[in-house]
Order: sequence, then C-alpha cells, then structure tokens
Amino acid sequence: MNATRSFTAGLRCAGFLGLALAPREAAADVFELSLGVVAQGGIEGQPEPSPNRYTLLRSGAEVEEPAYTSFGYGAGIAIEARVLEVVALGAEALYMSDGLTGTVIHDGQEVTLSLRQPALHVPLYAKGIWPLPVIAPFALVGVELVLPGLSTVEVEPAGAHAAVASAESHTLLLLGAGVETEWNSLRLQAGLRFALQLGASSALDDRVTVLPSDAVVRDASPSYQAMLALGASYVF
Amino acid sequence: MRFLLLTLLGLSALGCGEAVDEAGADALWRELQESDYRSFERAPGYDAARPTIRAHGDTALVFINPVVVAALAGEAIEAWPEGSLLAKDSYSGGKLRLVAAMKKNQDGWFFAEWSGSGEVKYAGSPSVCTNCHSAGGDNVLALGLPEGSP
Repeated sequence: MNATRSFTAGLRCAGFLGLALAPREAAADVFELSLGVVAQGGIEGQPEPSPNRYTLLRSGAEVEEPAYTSFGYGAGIAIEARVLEVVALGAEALYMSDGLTGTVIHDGQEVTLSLRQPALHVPLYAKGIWPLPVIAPFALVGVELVLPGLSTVEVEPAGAHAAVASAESHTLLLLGAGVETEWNSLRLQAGLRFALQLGASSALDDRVTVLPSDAVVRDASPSYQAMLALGASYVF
Repeated sequence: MRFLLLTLLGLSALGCGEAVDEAGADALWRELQESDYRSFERAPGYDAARPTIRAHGDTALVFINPVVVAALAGEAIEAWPEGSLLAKDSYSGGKLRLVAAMKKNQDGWFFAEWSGSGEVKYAGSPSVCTNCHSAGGDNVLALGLPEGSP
C-alpha cells in the first residue's frame, strides 16, 4: 500500500514538474505588445565619501560625512515589445521619490540629514524570458535614465547645519530578475532590480561643495538602488 | 485609467516651468549692466572662481554691491538691508554658463537667472531658487550674515 502511495505521489510530482518546466505551446503571435503599470520600492544610497572629513570655511567647524541610505519608491507606466515569447525590449517612465538619509558629525554634534529627490526614471532594457506555462522566470539588463527635480533637505536638529542638495541627470546600469504569469490578456510580474550609477564618484569634492557661508551642497542622487518591482500589463 | 492619468500628471509636473517676472528681470538686468556689476567687490572667499552648486555650473564668482559691503563691515545683523544686491557669474568648462542675481527690496528678495547670453530663465521668487537659498542666512548662500566685531 505504502509503495503504491509513494508511486502515485512520485507520478504527481513528475507531472507537476513536467507542467512547470515544459515550454509553452507555440505562440499564436510572433510579436506581442503590452502596456501596463509598474511600481517599485526599496533601498538606495551612497557609500561614505573618501576622505569623509572636511573643515567649514567660515566657522572652522569639522564635519564628518557618513554613508547615506534611505527608502525610495515610485510608480509609472511600462511598455514592452516581445518577440517569440522569449526576448523583449521594454521602456518605462516612473515618477520616483528618491531619498538619502545619514547622520553627519558637525563640530562634534550629530545632525541627521534627510535628502529627498523627486525624479523621472526611464528604464530601458532588454529582457529574456523562459516561457514556462505557469510561472515564467525572466532576467533583464539595461540602463535607467534619471531626470531629477528639485531636491529638499530636512535637518534634525533644525538649524544645526546649513545643508543644500542638488542633483543632475545621470544614468544607472540596470540588472534585474523575476517571475511573471499570464491570465488571459493580463500579465503580472514581480522582480528584483539592482541599479548602479555609471560614473558615480565617491571622492569628497564630487559629492560635497562647501560654500564660504558654511552652507554645504550635497549631491542628492543615489549611487545604488535595490528595488522590488511589481507590474501588471495588458497584452495586445 | 485614473492611476495612469495621475502618473502622467505627476511626470509632467517635473518639467513644469514657473512664472517668470520678465519686467522685473529686465529692470534688474539693466541695473546690473549700468552699474557694471563686475566692478563690484568680490564676496569674501571669491577672490578667484570657486566650486558652486551644480545647478549653477562648475565654478562661480560672486560680486556684492556697496550696500552689502557696508553691511559686512558693520554690526551683527539678522537680515541683509534693503538694496542689497549680489550677482554671480557661473562657469562650466571655463565658459560663462549663467548670470544669477538677487536683490533685496521692500517685499524681500527678488531672484533672477539669465543664460550666459543674457536670456532670462527665472525671475521673481521661483522655487528653483528659493528651494536652496532658504538654507542660507536670510536666503544668502554665498556669504554669511555679519557677526560684528568680537
């Protein structure tokens, strides 16, 4: 009896594996276009600059610069063109709120700086899909163009440090992996994305500008991101 | 559909411009030219062009009018006097990229920014200026308020 149960269970497992790993049926369309929405959120930051200490010009106060991390999030629209179900080119336009938070040491006092940076992110990527019938894994590689808006800085305690943030347009190298599933014409996907700013410098002079008034201007663009991305799209 | 519209609205807001006070910008530009602002004293620390906020360029020179010079030589104050004028030449790659100026009048600071060829870009109290300048003492980032003689 036990042997029969084991054999039946083995058949079920083999059947499930076969269903999961077998390729999809031949696609009706060689070319597919999808349009949808995507949202992502995760960790982003900047490593500690080198060197990380400097002196303010007017007061002579010493400042120690930290590594910055924060939570970034946003959402937008996505379009994808897929060929033979296995290769795709995608583009997205995401309105993101990027952030950097860290604690500087200003003349021996801890001062927390919270930089926020609204930005338009435009990921452009090539994607490879393993077209399994139920859950299809995918991987993507590409670039992400970032067009920043006006940065804001919150200083805690207020007035302890004159801080300004600024960011310029930059490009991230984008890598990602995840899974997707389709139900009728609806495609749902979830994945992890990692992005590194191309040409990002950790040199102090590239990250921090000290003005004669003692105000400090910081680069507000994260140099790395790790995001969980969720998407839903309609397949035409 | 509503989400898509909100997203597009949010994206478009990134590129929205702000109202430019053309008349105010023209008047301040004339004042800068007629007073030959580059003959003004340099702000402390700006004997030579020094690194500036990236939105303005790579390096900058800052000029201050006699009202600011007098205030710097006087007692400690908590706000710059009316008539204070600061002008800034900003350079990228050694070329003049923009001219920025701020003048204090009865209503507060009037900010303006022109391209290197003199075309006005911002004028009035645009957030693109005030967003950063609010971190400075009485909205001035280039130099600190005078603290008076010890």
